[in-house]
Amino acid sequence: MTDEQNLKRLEAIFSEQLNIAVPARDTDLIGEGYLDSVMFVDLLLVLEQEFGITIPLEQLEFDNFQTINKIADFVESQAVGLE
Amino acid sequence: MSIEYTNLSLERLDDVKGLMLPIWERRWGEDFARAFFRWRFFERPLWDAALAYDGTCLVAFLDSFIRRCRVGTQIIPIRQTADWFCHPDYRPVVGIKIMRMMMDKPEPMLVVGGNKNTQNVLPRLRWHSLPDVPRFVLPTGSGVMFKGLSRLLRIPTSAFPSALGRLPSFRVFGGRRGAAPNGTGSVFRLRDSESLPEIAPPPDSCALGAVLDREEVDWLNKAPDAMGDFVWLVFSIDGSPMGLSLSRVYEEKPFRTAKLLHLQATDPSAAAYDWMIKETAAFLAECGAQWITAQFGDPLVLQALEKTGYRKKRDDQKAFWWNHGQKPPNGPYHLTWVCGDESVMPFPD
Repeated sequence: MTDEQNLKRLEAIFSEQLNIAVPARDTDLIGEGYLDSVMFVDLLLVLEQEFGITIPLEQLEFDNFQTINKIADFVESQAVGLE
Repeated sequence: MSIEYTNLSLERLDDVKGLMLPIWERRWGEDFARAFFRWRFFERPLWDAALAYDGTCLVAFLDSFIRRCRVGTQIIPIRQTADWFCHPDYRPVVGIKIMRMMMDKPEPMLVVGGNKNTQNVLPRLRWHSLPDVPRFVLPTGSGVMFKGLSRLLRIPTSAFPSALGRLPSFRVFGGRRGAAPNGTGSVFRLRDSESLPEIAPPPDSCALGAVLDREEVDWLNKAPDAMGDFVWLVFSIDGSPMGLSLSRVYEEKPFRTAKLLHLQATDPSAAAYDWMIKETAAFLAECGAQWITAQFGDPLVLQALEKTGYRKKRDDQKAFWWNHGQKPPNGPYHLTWVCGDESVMPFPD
């Protein structure tokens, strides 16, 4: 799957599954308050289900979840690890 | 942003104090605060606390007590979390991460209560919900009317004149206490852990319930004076110890009040609990308590509480269980206020 496909899929996850309208792919999801604790845990669950990845404890870092762009990079890196 | 995760140690005590005191809304003097934090965090029997630092700044904290519990046929350590806090600038990632770190530890985990956020997050972290744990109150003095009034008017009880603190307690149950089941009963107040007899609930008496031990007696007996008195009553029938009640008598200015924290018995029955609850209530009323609160999830205890005159409150507590994806044990849950830091709440003003 290309980066663009992942990005579109993530945008759909935010708008359709998490009901969060994110203005742009580089919007700071945490700093601007789009993700609270409940939504963040929901996001982790959805990422694991939708992308077939497991998010290890050591990867729970700000940098991996700050923007849709960064989440896409993170999902990509985890998916590569599965191959 | 580079976050360092570590465990609580004595040299980090001041950091925890600086973080938690504003959250607890306490303005204690330095000496008392240090003594309290040392006792609360470092002198208890088994514990573990996770901290997250951004540089030298403590930004998140999660505490846990590890207590022996009866789980079906076994007595095993259960981790009970408390004081889960993350600075707003570091939510949600750091706060969730320290909980996930705790969940990776080997012991099963239990939470009773917690705020709305905790109640919303834990099921999403795949914790199992247990049956709600009801709360009760037994009026034992006319001070309870002022307590009700304070809630109605949304003012603290401390707004009432201090002279009300001298109101006598009722002579509960008209001076007639409950009878011990099947024999001659006796009760003594335990002063030190050396005199604690073996009073463990039998196998399969409950799916889950704390088993108090000498270490817990020693810790609570070392509590700062401002915490009030922890009252341990040992119940015997025909000279054989069969039950234990733990309560706390403390000030809710200007009144004295009490919490019935825990009951455990070698042969749990509604009759045994009925006797223990009545004796304990009478003792606490004699200590000047104007009302006694209780929190129990065990159907046998609920039956005895209601028979004794305890009234159910409206604030049932949520309970959650985590054991690495395994389902919770089946059966009655003997959940009490001996869970996390509930036995030592509220803290002194």
